[in-house]
Amino acid sequence: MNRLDKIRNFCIIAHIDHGKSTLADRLMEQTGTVALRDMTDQLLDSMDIERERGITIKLTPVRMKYSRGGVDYELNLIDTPGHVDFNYEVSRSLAACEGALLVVDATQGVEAQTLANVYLAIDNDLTVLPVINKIDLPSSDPEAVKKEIEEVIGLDAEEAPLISAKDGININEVLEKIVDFFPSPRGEENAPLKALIFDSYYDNYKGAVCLVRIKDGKVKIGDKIKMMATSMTYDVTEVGIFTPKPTPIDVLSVGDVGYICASIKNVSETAPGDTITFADDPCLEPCPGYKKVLPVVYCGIFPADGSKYNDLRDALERLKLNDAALFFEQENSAALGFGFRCGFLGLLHMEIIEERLEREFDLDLITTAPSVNYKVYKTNGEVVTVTNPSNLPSVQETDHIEEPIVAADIYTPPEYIGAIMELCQEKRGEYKDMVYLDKTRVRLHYIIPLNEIVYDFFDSLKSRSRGYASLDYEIKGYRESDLVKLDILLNNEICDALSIIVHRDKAYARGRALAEKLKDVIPRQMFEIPIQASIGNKVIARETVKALRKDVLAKCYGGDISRKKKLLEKQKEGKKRMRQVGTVQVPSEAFMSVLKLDDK
Amino acid sequence: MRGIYIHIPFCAKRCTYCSFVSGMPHEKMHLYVDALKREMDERPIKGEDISTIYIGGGTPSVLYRGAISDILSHIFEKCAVGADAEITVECNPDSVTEDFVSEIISAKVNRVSIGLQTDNDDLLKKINRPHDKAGFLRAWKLLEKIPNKSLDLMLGLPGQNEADLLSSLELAVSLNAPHISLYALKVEEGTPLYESGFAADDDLEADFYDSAYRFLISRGYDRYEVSNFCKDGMYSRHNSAYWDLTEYYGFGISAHSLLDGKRLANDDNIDKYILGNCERFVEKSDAAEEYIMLALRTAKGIDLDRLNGYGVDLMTAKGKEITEYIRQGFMIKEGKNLRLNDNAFYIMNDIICNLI
Repeated sequence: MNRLDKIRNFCIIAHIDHGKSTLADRLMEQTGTVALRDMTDQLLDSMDIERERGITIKLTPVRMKYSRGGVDYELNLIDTPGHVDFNYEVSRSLAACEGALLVVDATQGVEAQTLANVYLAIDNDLTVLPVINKIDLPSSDPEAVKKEIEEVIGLDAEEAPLISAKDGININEVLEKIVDFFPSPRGEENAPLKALIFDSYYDNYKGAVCLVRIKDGKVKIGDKIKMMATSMTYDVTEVGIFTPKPTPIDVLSVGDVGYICASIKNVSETAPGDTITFADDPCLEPCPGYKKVLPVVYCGIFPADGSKYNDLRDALERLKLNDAALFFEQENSAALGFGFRCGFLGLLHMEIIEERLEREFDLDLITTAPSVNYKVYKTNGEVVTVTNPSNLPSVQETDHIEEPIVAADIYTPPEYIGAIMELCQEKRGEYKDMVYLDKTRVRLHYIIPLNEIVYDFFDSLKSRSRGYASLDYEIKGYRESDLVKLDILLNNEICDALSIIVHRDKAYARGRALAEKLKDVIPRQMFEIPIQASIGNKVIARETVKALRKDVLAKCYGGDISRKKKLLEKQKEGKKRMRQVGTVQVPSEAFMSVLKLDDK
Repeated sequence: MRGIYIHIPFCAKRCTYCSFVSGMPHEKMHLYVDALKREMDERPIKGEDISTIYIGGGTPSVLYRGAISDILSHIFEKCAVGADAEITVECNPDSVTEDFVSEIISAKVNRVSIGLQTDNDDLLKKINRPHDKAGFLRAWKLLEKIPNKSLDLMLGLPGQNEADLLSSLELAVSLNAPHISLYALKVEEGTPLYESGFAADDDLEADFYDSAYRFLISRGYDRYEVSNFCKDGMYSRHNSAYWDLTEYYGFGISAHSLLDGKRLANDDNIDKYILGNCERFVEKSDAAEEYIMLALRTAKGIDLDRLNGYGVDLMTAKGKEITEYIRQGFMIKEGKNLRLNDNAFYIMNDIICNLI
């Protein structure tokens, strides 16, 4: 048996909650990769947020030893994120594998995101092995799920191991099938180095660490390497594998999954999908499929306390070290001061970044309404891309505007079809078709503008389907649309941070809702404050914050001045969290509160 | 010239809104007065020029007979108290007796501040005041030999309406009270009023205040401070001194002092105080900020030259803000004088926050 025959590289595809991380834990336990005493739940999800939300954001590969019939196999598990926002990450990790375990919940059946990723795996020529999990649950129906896998996906499910990752049932069968079912990697050991980067992260001591799958050749310390997309060259300082802790070894060879360090300053130089080869003896062709990831959702992020601008910049730079998909550039808002316009792969990505900034860097943030990339065709023939409503050219300069649209697949139990169709209609969705996947599940297919999805679509979808419906979408290009810029005026001055780009038909309702909400969150001040929503010069909604009547310290005698002064200092402290918009003080919370308006 | 404040932490009954240090057991009165004299002995007041003395509380009029003369003669022995010094004692109508009046007159008290709060007996009962309107009128009559009197009234009491307030003011005016203080009820945490769940209505209080202000101005009173009105220049010199950063000694538990630019606060534990180990804390102070905060409460306003003396050139530091306030009609600047316009007195906190 040659070396490659003993290697299996595989990943796990599963819907959120279907038990992927738990299965990974069991595999590591069963192979003795991690001693039981070191097990914490979901070992591969290294970030707190991942464990709390039960989702995987970063990929953490692990090498496991599995012995059978006197042969020591090397099983490399590459964990994958389960969310649509991270589709590209998934495709990269799939490209590093030959096999994929498809974990399906025996009580739930096949879910939307599972489908998307299974097709991605099949497109990447992976061998897919279904695994039916949670057979310990009384409501599980493995036979029905098997049938569904065969009918919906078209995979043979007869061989599927029936397991319970939670209770450790039949884990060994999974290990056996990994060896028997998945092909071993192929490649030339003596060819020039060809290593696919499927992820990278930043380490304070080692610099950017490239997670690679060696497709051809081998690499060791001291080799001079080159990134094929950028032609930048580096000297290798360390190679190693994940056990799951990074562990240096002498050589990484064809078929291996491991890491390469080369004193690389920044993860943006280690673009996922790129190919590493030797600087002096390069391979002929890079690995296929490399693309630059572009953000699709944007928002402004500002420090709640303006003096924390530098802290925010440092924090974003730190996150960027580990997240090549995060985009940011300085933004200067009249209302919010200095901050950043940030671009994300999707809404979840945006939420995760915001949460990490607040949690790991202890920052209070103000974020503005999410926006997308609009294409503005100007009357002078120019086409500009706008992600920030404040930069939208004037109506006079604009010939027409195009917005990104997505093809959305919504999976739902049939009883919510009506409510969901109504929602899609409200969101300017264009109905395409509807397919009964089985008696209990329907797939609705819609074309929907992305700007409706980024607003509050997920929340509405969940609330109208009691949490049952799920959404999968992909960008389908651009479409001309009657879009307008909706401005909010506070005391007759535009507050740029509250401007949004919205379809004309929805502008009135949104304007009214915004004005009403702001009336509740802006505190009374020394003068009456008109709040107006307007399109161009036309006011479409108006509310008023009444003038403050009483704001004065009680008795200032008896000589106790300090107590009174403390009250004023507290009040002054509170004002620090306010933003000056023209003459109006707007609390930071006001900017956030308008992000989630109930449309009803 | 400095002032003296004496804190008397005893009351006949505790009002539902009170958050001051008061209501101590009456059996401690003698020991407390002794301790007050000891504190005066221990602190360096010898030979000090004293222009105002204020005995407040609590309710100084509930003290045993002889206590006030004892305290005041102790001060006269040690300090140079001018013949024209203002000497005020706070009293509640129920404890104003003939004996009390003759004692304080012979002790050279020349000003009294009477806590009426409201002339509506139901409201008085509700806030647990020990007197009624009739009792107040009797006390007022007894005090006729002391013409310099202040009447304390409150607005925003639970259940009080505008007519109640105006009736109390009408009474004060008909009695020709030379000084009226009108404080808005403040619901402080930990008071029975707070526990009762009562919440102040700022808009209502602002309406009451506006009506009261118009009424008093129409009857010839001046608003010399946001909550203090007087006729014929009969303002409280002692309180005005606080707003003017004139220095003062504070004796007794929880009393504050301002000496040599330092703010000091006495501890509020009466037993420790009686035993002679009263702790005194230095509090953070900043003359410029305090001057802005206090002077803006007064009709006189800020003397910018004086503020310069405290190291702050306000027109340079906050010129933009002040110009805007003037433009909006909330402030008035005349030469080196900067003050609030009439319409801004009741909403001054925001302005102060922006200027300090």
